[in-house]
Amino acid sequence: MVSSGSRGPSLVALGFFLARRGFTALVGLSLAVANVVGFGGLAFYLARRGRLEALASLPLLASTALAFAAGVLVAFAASTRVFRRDEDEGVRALLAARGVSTAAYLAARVSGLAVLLAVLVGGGSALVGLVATLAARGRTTALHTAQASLAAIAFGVAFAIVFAPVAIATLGARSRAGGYLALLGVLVLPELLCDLAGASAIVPQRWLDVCSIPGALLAVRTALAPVGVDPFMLGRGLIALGVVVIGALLVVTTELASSRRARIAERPRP
Amino acid sequence: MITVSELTARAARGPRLTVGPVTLTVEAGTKTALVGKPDAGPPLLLAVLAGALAPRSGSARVGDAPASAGPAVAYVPYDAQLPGFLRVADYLDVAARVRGEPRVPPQERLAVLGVAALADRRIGRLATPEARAVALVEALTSARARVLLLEEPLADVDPRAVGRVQGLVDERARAGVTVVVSTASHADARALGDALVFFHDGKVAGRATRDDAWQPPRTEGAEGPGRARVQLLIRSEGARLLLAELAADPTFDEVWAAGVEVVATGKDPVAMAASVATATRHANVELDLLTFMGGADGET
Repeated sequence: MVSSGSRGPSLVALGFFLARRGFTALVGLSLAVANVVGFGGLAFYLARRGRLEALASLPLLASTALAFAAGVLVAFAASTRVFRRDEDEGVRALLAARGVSTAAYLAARVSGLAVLLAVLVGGGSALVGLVATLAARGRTTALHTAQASLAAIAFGVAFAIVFAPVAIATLGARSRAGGYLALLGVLVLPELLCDLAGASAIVPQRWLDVCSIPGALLAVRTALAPVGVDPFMLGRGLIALGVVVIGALLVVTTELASSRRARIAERPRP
Repeated sequence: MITVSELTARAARGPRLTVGPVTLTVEAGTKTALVGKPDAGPPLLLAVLAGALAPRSGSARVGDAPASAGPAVAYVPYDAQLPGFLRVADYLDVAARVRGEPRVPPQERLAVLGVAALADRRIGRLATPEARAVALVEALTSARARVLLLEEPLADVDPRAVGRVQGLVDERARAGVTVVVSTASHADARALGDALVFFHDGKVAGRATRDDAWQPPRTEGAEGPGRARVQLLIRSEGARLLLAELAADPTFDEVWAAGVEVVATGKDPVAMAASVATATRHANVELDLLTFMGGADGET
């Protein structure tokens, strides 16, 4: 296979294009727009009512809503049975015939979805944060809101980088129901296990808040949110998320290989 | 340059098709037609050259590297799988991006084969000949492709495009692109290839140049001791089907078709007649005319 390095941006653009296809993705994108418009309107409403102290929390709330409503929906749509769909629809053939390796295909798929999620969650949070910051009166409130906006953007970007490989790892090679259960398991089970581990003191107390994906994401955001910055919490969150990303990428590679083996086994024997 | 050395390969799925051992050299910037029925080996060899099928033994090299898929190789199999959800224009843009070549307006590219009207159509809704024309447009107008591997580029192709394929192939070859075509049609092979390589039962059965093949069959008895060459003229509505059958039959030295006529040459009129009878039965066609010409005394 020919190196795909020089074609990287084009492949990411293709992954982005593929990730936003379909009705469910459209619903997710519409939901994101509604979220941004809703939170933007809420910022003006709160500013007019003089409840300025609540403005700083708006970007944080918006990022959570964007991530776990619109973001999850878009990731679900883009990832469900993605390997089989790409085989059936000729995407794999299109790439393979032009020398794009399996690794480059996976990178395109994962990074395309990650860019879409980053635009959706990070970009949406940035817009809400901008509106809230502009609506804030007083330097201190404006600074707090701006810092919260940056924390929300960081949360959005981290969500995108982590959730794209996790979604494709859990949903890519499974049925819709099986993938949904796997994704739910990856998101919820660690939280439950952490509670048990915390109760039995297996996991150090300070790591308990980052031992699930939502927990680690929230830790990153909390560490950057007003009033101060907690570098230790940020470090723990990033380490935990890094481990998740590496694990998810390993699973994605394995899942793609097993999916291709299954497809070959399904073909009629000579 | 393409170099194939003692290569054998077997189809990864479907019928147990094999090719080889084959040894072959294709010079850069030339046009070569691999001639034979689909099960005689040419499509498999084309797939190996495109990197779509791994050889079982031997080697196939394109330039200095083992044959593999890449942006410089444009491969159009007979049943090219295109992404049905894309519009034709988007497909050409995506393919160009993946190849890493500059964008050319899709309408311009499609117009080269006379199918610009397909630009806004969804690929999944195209008829097979239209989709084949789109696949050919992508390959033939690719700025980066230096090797074109085309399976039956004149068969089942949109009628607006089919008349322009030959000219475009010639143009690309003049620009230094190496063209290898696989076809069961001798007429198509002569139209598209300067060098013709005939396949039978997975192996190379003969070679000729286009000019050789266009010469009328010789009847002056220069074919060996005691045997003059016999020319057989068959007229049938199923000429193309017969051609495919006869091309695979070693009884014949040369076989080609033009319209409803098939011309075949060989040395043994009795064996040739028997082969035609078998081919007629296999192809399930009727003959309107069967004429022998030539022989030792040049009679008809």
